[in-house]
Amino acid sequence: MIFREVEDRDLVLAARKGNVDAYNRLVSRWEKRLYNYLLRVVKNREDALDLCQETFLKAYRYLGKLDDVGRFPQWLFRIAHNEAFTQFRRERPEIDDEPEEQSGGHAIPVAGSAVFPLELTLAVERALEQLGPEQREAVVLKVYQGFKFEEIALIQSCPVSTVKSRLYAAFDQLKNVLAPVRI
Amino acid sequence: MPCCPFDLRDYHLEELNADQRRQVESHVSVCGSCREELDRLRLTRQALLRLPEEEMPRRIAFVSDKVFEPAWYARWWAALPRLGFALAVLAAVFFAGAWSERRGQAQVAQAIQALEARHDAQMRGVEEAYEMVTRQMNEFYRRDGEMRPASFRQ
Repeated sequence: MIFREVEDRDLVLAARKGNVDAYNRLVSRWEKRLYNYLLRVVKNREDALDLCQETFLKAYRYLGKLDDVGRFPQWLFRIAHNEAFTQFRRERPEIDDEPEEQSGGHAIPVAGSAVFPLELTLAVERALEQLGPEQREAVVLKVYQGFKFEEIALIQSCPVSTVKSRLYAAFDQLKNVLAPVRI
Repeated sequence: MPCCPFDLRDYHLEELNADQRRQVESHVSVCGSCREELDRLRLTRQALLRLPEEEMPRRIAFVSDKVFEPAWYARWWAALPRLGFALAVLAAVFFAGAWSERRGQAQVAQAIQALEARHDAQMRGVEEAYEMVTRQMNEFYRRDGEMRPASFRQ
């Protein structure tokens, strides 16, 4: 992980000097993770791909403004977050941090019972869809991307306490859906 | 959950330090309800991690574009070492050429000098031969005059 970080730093410095190949190497390193993050946030493949391209384009354009080259991933995900939520707000101006209306609010019995992989995948997708966009994003950044609370706060441009409350609420909700109490 | 020294969700999300983790683990080993809560959090996380990562429909790649190319001064700055090397090579070629030309000129001058010397030597030979012939002719005329009768002498 440390080795990878050092290499990212070198590539960022080279890309800053106009080395397009160095930037392409950075893109190939991060594109899949960024795409999957965006896919789980916006829930649409075409949109996720467009936003991914837009994010990398903006990142290249503003690479010179990145103060700490060692924090390239957090900075990149922050740009992606801004892109995704700008699109959200453009398409659905009423959007806020509240969870989406739950479809009936019924629990999907998953844990403790034998389910096929496809069923489990669908159950997880449905459970994530029931979260609000920013809660879902916090879960994706924490569980799938492995960022710390402070890093998520930087990406979501909010205090750490907000990140914690988003994650706690999301996990309480997910827990009830994916690991209901056995009676 | 309030009976646990730290929030189990922080423990589960790996946001506690080693000492705090040890305290939670020691508590969970004796508290059934916290153990059950932690199990539910683990099951939730395991279920979330079953969601597979998707491959990208197409890869992203950038090509050099004038819009994103660095400014002229940045390009000059970046090209400075190469420019310096090229100038050094040019200077070396120039000085080598000048030195070679000077050497060539000296060789030509030397050759001309040698030719002139040879020409002078040859001319000296011709002059000596001419003087000798003149001397011989004068001698011949002198002898010829002595042999003639006095009436034919001038």
